[in-house]
Amino acid sequence: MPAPPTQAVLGPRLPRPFGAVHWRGAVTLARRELWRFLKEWPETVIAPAFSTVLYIVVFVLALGPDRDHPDGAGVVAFILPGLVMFAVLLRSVETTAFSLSFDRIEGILPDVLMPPLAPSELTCAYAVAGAVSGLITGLPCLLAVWVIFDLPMAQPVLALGFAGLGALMMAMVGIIVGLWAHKWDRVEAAFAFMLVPLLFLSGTFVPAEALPSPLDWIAQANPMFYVIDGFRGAMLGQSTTPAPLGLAVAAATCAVLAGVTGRLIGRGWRLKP
Amino acid sequence: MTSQPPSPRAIGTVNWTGLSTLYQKEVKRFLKVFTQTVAAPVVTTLLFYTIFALALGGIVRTVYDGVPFLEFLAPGLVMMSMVQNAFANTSSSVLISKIQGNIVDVLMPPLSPVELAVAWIGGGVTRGLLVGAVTFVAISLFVHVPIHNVFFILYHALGASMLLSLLGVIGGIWAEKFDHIAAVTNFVITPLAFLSGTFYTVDRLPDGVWWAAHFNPFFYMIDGFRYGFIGESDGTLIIGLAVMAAANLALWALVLRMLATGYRLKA
Repeated sequence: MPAPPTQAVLGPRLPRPFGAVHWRGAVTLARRELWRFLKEWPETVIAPAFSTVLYIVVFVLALGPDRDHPDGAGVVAFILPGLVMFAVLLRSVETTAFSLSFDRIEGILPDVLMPPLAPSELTCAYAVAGAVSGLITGLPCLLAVWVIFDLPMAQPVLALGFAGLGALMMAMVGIIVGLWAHKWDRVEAAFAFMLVPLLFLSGTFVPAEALPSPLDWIAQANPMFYVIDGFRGAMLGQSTTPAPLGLAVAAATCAVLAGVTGRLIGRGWRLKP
Repeated sequence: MTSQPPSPRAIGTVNWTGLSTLYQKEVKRFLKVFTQTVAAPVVTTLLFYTIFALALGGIVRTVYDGVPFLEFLAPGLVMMSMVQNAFANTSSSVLISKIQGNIVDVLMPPLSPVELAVAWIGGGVTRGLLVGAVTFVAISLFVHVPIHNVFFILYHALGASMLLSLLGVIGGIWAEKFDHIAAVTNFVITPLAFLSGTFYTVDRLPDGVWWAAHFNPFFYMIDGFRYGFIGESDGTLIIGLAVMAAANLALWALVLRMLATGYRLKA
C-alpha cells in the first residue's frame, strides 16, 4: 500500500499568492455571514426589539404603583440598559452558533474550509460578523428604550466600547458552541441550559449583589456581567465596577477566546476527520 | 387451491388503531427530544420566576391584600409554559410534516378529519400538561403554592392547552415557512401570554388597557387557573369558564372545517 503523499512528494509549500492576510477571502466570508443575518431581518432585528418592548411593558406594569417611587424608578432605569445589552449579546452568539451548526448539519461547511483561509482569518470573519449583527440588533432596542423612557447616554463612546467587546466575546462563544454542536438538540440545549441563564443572571435584570449565595458568585465571575454592568454605567453615568476594570476584563476575555477559537479551528476540532 | 384476495379491513365508526397510532407518534415525537421540549421550558420558567422574585422585590410584596407575590406569580408562569408548549407542539408538527413532505403519511391513511384533529391536539395537550406539571413541581420545591379548587385548575389547564393546540394546528396548516410560524409566536402568542396578567393584577392597569385586557382570552385562562390555586381572581369566574368553552368550540369547528376542505393540505 503506497504511503499517502507527503509534503515532500507534493513539492515545497508555495507561498500564498495574496500577502500575509487574505483580505478578500475574510471580507467575503464576513459579508456572507452578515447578509445571512440581515436577510432574516423580521426575525433577527424586529423580533428582538419587539421582545425588548414587551419585557419593558411587563416589568413596568408589574412594578405597579411602585414605578413612581424612587426605588421603582431606579429598578426601571437599571433594567433598561440591561435589556438592550441582553439583545446585543444574545444576537451575537446566535449569529455565529446558528450559522456554523446549520452549515455543518447541511454538509456545506467545506465551502468555508476549502478556500485558502487561515484559522485566524476564519475566526476574525465569523467573530466580526457576529459582533456587528449584535450591534445592529441592539440599535432598535436602544431606540425603543429612548422613545419610551427618557434615559441619558452619559458616555456614548464607552457604551459602544462595552457593547462592541461584549458582542465580540459572545460571537466567539457562539463559534465554540457551533463547533461543538453537531445536532440542533445540542444548539438548543446550549442556549436553554447555559447561555440564556448566564445572560439573565449576570446583571441584566438584577444587581449581582441581590442574588442568593451561589448565584452571586457565578455572576461576579462571569465576564458577561462586566460588559452589561459597564454598558449600564456608561449609559447612566454610574456603575458598580470601575470602567477600566470592566474594559480590561472584557478585552482579556476576548483575547483568550480568540486564542481558543483560533486554535480549535486550526486543529480542525470537530471540523476535519 | 386458489388464493383468496385479501378482504378489505373493516374499520368501525372510529378508526381506533389509526387514532391511537397517530397520537402515540405525536407524543413520542416530543418525548424523544425531551430536553428541548420539557426540560428547557421548565428551566426558562424557573429563570423568569427567579428574576421577578429578585428584580421586583417579589419576596416581600403582596397582592390582593395579603397574597404573597410569589404565590400569585407561580400559577401564571405554569400556565404560560403550558400554552407556549401546547402551541409549539402542534404547530411545529404540522408545519415540519408539510415542509418535509411527509404530511401525506397522515393524510393518506383512512383517518377522518375528527380523528386527525383529536390525535394532533391530544399530542399538544399532553405536552402542555406535562410541561405544566413538571414546572409546578419544580416551583413547589422553592415556594409553597396552595391549592384552593382542583376543578378550576384542571378545567383551565385542559382548556388552555387544548385552545393553544388548536391554534397551533391552524397556524401550522396556514404557515408555509418557518418564518411564518416564528412570526405568529413572536408577535401574537408571546405578547398575548405576557400581557395577560401573569406578572401583575389587571386591576392595576390604566382604564383603557384594563378594558383591552378583558378581551384577551389568555387573561381568562390565567385568571381562572390562578383562582384554583390562590382563591382570588381579577375577572368573573363564570365568564372565564364560558369564554374558554366558547373559544375551544369555535376553534374545533374551524380546525375540522380546515381539515375537511383540505385547506393548504390537499391540492
